[in-house]
Amino acid sequence: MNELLLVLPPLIFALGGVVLLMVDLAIPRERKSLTAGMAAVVSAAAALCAILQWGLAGSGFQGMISVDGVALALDALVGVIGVMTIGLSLRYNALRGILRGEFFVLMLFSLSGMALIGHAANLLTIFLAIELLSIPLYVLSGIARPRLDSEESAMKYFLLGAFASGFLVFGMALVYGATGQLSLTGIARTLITSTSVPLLVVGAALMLVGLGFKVAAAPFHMWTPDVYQGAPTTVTAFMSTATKAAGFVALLRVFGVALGDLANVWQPAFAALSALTMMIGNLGALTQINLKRMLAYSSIAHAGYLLMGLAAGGVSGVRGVVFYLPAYAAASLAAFAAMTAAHNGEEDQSISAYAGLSRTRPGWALVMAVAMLSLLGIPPTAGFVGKYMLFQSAIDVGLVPLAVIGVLTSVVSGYYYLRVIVTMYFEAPPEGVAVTKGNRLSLHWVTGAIAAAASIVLGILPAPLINAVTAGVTSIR
Amino acid sequence: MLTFSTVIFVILAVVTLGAALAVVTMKNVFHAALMLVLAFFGVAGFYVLLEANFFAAAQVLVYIGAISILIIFAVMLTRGVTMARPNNEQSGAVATASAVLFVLIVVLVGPWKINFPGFAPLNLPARAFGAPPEFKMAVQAVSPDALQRLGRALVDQYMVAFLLAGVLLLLAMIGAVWVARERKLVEIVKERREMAAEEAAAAVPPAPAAEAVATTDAHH
Repeated sequence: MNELLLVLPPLIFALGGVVLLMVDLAIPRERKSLTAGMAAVVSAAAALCAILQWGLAGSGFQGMISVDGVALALDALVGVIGVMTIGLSLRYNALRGILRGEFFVLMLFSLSGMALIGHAANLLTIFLAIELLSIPLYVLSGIARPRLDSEESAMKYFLLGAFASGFLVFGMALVYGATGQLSLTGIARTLITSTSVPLLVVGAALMLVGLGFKVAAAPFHMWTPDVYQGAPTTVTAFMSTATKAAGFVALLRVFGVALGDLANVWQPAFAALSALTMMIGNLGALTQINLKRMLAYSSIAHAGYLLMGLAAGGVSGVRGVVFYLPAYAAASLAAFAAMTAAHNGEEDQSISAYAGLSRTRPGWALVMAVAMLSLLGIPPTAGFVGKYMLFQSAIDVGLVPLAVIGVLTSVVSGYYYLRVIVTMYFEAPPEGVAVTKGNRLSLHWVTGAIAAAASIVLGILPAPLINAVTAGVTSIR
Repeated sequence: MLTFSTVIFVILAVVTLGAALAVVTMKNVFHAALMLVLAFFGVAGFYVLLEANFFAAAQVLVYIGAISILIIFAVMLTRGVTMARPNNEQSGAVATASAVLFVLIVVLVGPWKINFPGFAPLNLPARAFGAPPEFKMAVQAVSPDALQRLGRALVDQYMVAFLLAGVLLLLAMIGAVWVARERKLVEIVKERREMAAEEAAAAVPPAPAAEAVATTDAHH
């Protein structure tokens, strides 16, 4: 019984998914918002459970499962992201005809996989958890079937994702071959005495490829723009925030916990990946005229900033990563919320479609503006504090060139983030668009406003979260 | 030196490799699928040779009994591609890359010993070119109650992984049902019409075509 406490949040997600799968059968097609509500309750319960369990540490299930501060932080983060995505889904999915029970069931299973990554103490558990998060996402990105763009998105994601999983599991097999251990602490223990270092290095490199795909790091980012563009926007919002968080925790567990003593080998690789990802993401976003594609490149760029924290390592680097994940999630969710709200029915994804939004939908224009400023990293937003922590951690360990690349690419990113704001505030709205005086109080609006507010609150009062994150990071086991 | 098991090993190796080669070279997809069955049989033979009876049985049941039959079904149901001549212009490059990778793995990874717990240390070049007795020595450690231990480990030490695999299968099933779900006739007719419109739009590139594509987005 005590062992179950160690995996309670992922268990809540998974059991909720199983129960909801059956309950959903009894809910008529036109009342699927009921399913959504129940999924939101499950998600919130898991997040609350993780917060109540804060401080818990231990391992169990014969070394397959462990729990520490980062695991609980990830549980809480993905739980909150789940609730907010459901908040956005109700209106958007109904307009798109995809307000289906399966959507929320699959989301809960994906959330359980994400949460489980933090609790995984064994390569086997990590691999299965990553598959558990991926398989529902393959289906979710294609859930707007038979829309061609959604099908294309699902197909690309599935093929490349399966390929990446192959890299990951092959790398794990090589590491197992070199150390004879599957448990993360076991690998860390035998690492020093291992006689097959080349095998270990090849294995680590293959795992980095597999996980690099999941977090959309360059040069494994090719799928990101197409998949993000084609998937329903609510799924894209979910993918770009929750999956990224889970992927980075997986990297942290595999490289930080298991292969920590091999850091002198993989840290330069992380630094190189980080630099490349920041440059490709930010330069790629410059030329986009499609807002969703631009946000996809922005997501790649942020993977680069996050990788910088892992390359720097240590408590300060990891702390920066764990702080930046919710900061990025809040800004990204706000941007996607504003994007889905600004148009009724068929969404026009081009940036020019948002011209004059400050006059037609002033509230949403404000949300979008806050999101852009936080993604850009302007004080007093959460993005600024996060980037500051990441760059600082890189400078502390002497990775000054990497920090310089980070700052320079951030300056470049100003062009495309501010362009959205300029379009919204200084260009005339297209003919025939109704001007709405204030926003009707809807669930969608509340969700977007909370995400934008979180971006600002975390920027003005970051100390409580930073303290919690620091405590969590020092408890990594 | 030329023991009975060596002879069997060579025969199995020739059959497996020959069949595998035929899978990629045969023009007829159906024949290729049958060759795949033969290659799977060869692999099952290796397992028997290694005294891994359970794996041999699983190989026959899963790969030959289920997966090959599935492939053959798929080939027969999609008649269009059965006799297709997919012209692969990269076969030369792929062959070269495969050969280079093989040599690299044998030369680079080979010299380092791989220590699987409970197994005698293996040496890759010896495995790649050596005689089967070396294989046999490797697996002796897990016999004879290997199957019982495997079963017990699945519900004991690896219970979490076992349960997770079950959840994964459930998800794959939900996903497959969603992707292949039955649609109403109205939906299918509408879809066909839109596809036709799209094809027409693709055939006539100028301005009106762009609008035709735009209207096809109005699904549901």
